Amino acid sequence: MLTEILQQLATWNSLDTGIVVTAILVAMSCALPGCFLVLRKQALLGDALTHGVLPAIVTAQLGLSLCTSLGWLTAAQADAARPVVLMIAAAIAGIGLGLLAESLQQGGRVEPGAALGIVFVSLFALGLLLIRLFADGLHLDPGCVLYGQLESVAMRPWWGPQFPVAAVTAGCVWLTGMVLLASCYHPLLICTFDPQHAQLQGARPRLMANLLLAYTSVAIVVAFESVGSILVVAMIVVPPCTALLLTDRLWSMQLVAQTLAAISVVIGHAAAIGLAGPVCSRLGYPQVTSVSTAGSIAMAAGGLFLLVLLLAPQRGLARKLYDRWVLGVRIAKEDLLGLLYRCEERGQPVSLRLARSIVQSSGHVSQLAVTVALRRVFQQQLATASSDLLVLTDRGRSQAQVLVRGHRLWEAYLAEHLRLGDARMHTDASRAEHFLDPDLHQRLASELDHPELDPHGQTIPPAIDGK
Amino acid sequence: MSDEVWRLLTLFDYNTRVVFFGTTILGITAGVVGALMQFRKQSLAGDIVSHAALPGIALAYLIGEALEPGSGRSLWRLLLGATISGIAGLALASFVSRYSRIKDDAALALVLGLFFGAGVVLLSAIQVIPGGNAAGLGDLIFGTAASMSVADVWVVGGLGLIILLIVLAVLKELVVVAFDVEFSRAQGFPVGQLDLLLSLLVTLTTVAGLQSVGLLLVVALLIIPAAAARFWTNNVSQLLILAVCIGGCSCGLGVLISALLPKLATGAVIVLTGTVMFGVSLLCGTQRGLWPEWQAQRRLKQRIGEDDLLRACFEAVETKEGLQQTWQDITQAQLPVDQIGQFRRWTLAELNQRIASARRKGLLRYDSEGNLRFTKTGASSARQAVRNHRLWEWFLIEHADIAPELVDRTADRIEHVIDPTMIDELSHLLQRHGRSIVLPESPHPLQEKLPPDPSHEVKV
Repeated sequence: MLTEILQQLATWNSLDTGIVVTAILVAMSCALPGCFLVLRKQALLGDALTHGVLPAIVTAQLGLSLCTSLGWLTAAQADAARPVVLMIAAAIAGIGLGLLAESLQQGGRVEPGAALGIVFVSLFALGLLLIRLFADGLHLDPGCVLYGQLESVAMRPWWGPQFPVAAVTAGCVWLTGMVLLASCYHPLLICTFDPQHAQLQGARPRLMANLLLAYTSVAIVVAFESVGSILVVAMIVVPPCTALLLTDRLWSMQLVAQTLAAISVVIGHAAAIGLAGPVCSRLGYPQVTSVSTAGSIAMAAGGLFLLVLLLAPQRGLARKLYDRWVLGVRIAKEDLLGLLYRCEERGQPVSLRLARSIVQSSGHVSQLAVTVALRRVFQQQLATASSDLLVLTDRGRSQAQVLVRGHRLWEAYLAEHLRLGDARMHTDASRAEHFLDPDLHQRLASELDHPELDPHGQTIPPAIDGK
Repeated sequence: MSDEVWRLLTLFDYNTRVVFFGTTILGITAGVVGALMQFRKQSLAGDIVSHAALPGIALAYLIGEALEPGSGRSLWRLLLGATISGIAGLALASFVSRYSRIKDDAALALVLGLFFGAGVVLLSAIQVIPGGNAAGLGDLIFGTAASMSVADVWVVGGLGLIILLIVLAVLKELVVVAFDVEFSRAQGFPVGQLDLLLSLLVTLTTVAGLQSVGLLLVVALLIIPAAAARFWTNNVSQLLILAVCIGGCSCGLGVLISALLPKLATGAVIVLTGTVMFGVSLLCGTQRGLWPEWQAQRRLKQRIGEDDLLRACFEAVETKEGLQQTWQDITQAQLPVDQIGQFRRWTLAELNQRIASARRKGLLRYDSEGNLRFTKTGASSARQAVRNHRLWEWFLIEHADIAPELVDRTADRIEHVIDPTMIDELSHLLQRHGRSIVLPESPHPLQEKLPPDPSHEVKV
């Protein structure tokens, strides 16, 4: 399997490089405004814009072909003007869509999601209709807008080596975006997080919102040309979301999001040409040698997101589960030590099985955690088992003493200051004992005038020196 | 040509008839489900479901072909696949937004991108597989209601009907949950299960609509009817009925139009028919429509202008002849036009316009000598306006401790909107304070030019 994949990848040529470079630039141009859209809770606007700019693109195309057929422009001139005209049309359409949705929302009091939905769906339907009506005059078909023509990126000589033309446009758009980002970083930042404050500071949130809409639309149009709208939707939202799980700063979010976008393009394309063939032939479809690059880039970005969601160092689900497990084991261990200490106090040694079932019955910890905790207790020589009875060692006793001291001090504190009932006091203290440190013990003790007995009349063990 | 149109409009052909009714049922169902989603403010969920359905469709096709070559195209299998992956998409989105810091909307958009990408990858593989090209799964993306086979319509229409029946069975519970989750919990409704049911219904509706409008546009069936109906009514049951009508009409009309003009994409036509209906509702809707609201505003403005003019006339006479005299019979008094304009700081043009409009309404008249006078109705309206204004002024002075010099402005704004019951209450209130309520005097000088009269001072 691996050799097959490598064989497939060995066919990588300058066309593949061209595709990847173009797609990377497009993906980065989309992730750039995407970060702001995600932070402003307007992620669905990305989807809406990809649909909504369609009639603008069609109209601009129609206008250009009309100009050529009337003889105002030569074919070469029209070709040269095309990207710019399309971008301007898209920027206008993007701002228009935003304004329309907002005025429906405010003037017509339509629910925000519905307002956005109505506008973009209607515009998209209009665009489709226009395409069908004027299909002959347009080099545009709906499928192409959807899936892009990434696999047939036009290569032209450019300073010697062959270079994709689309990459130049995409590169310009990305650079413009970065320049805009650098020059408006602060206003964009405050407008994103606190529009009212921004207004007070004179940062003009309206202008920034429109700028964002316009730039997103331009990026989308460039993407339509090369990679299709699926990739746009994915790239606007997925890398920024992944970055959001990894960072806490806007600039690092931008950096991470754009890097992730680039990485997912590389992985996606490699998977599309390398992995798809072998996998499909295993599944019994030897005819399939490669799949849609745009789609697999989107999948790669999604895969990266899921990976980060699981494994992110601070906020990953795996980390959360691990933390919970560690806490569970610690609580089980401490409960066990506390139990042994109390039993020793009463002079009633307890058997291993009984101790287990008592700790488990408290309901805070799982069976597995108790087993692991027991093993820890023996490993760290906190207790020993002599003829099935558990006995604390000196080390174990001093640890347990700290714990029980915390428990009884907390009970005394609750009784003194909050006058809680006995049962309530005990459950509360059994929860709190795991989170009280010796420093807090000291403060509690001095607050309560160093009591000897807790409210149940049991001795509060003294603090251990040196702790 | 006209014969063809006639056959179409009378639904003469079995095929047209079936497609028409199937799609209309779909529109009706989507109208109800969409309204429920709108109550929950989750209108765009349908969009996510429709995009997330794509990999399911492709997988269902592949599995179908693998199990039984040639059967992959069977619609109900594709729809089953679509349903499963649509539900999976919604589940993933709610999982992500629940267990990470990603917000709802971003989670939905994320799922949309991811699933749609996967779907496109699978479709691009299917295109290459022999027989796959003819599968025409692409139809599901852009929608082709007019060329649906009768068997497909039966599947879609049947599905729509089943959804409709389920919705009708639990409509009350769904509506209550949509409006007030806490209340319905208190009532003992199984909120979680109802939520799940609604998600399932949305998914099924979306999936049923894929064939006729296409997955890119099917969300329109859910959003537009409910949003359009909202402009006509504030009542839930009326809204549901209207949404059903609008949904059914836009689907039915859309199918007919696209059957007449086969060049147009059916999905797009259905959506645009809906958009036109939405536009009409937006403009003319009786509850929130722009035109009625504009009209109401214009009428209010006119009434305010009228009240202002009448009060100005009254007060001009009052300064000359005294309150007692003016109150009793004001129709005899000549109205000093230039003084009024000066008094309210209106330009001559404004004043003339106001006078003309008041004359049209029979509130003012010119007598034989060309003097402006009140008519009978005008006099009583003027009295009413003055009374409203002054009652409010006295109320502000006595109950809100506002200085007499400041009350005029505030009262100016409020006097036009206080209703008769409020006036009654005000007069009762002021009567208890021993103030004349039939004929309250102004608490402040009527014209700034006049010297302040000590009798107008207020005892606090």
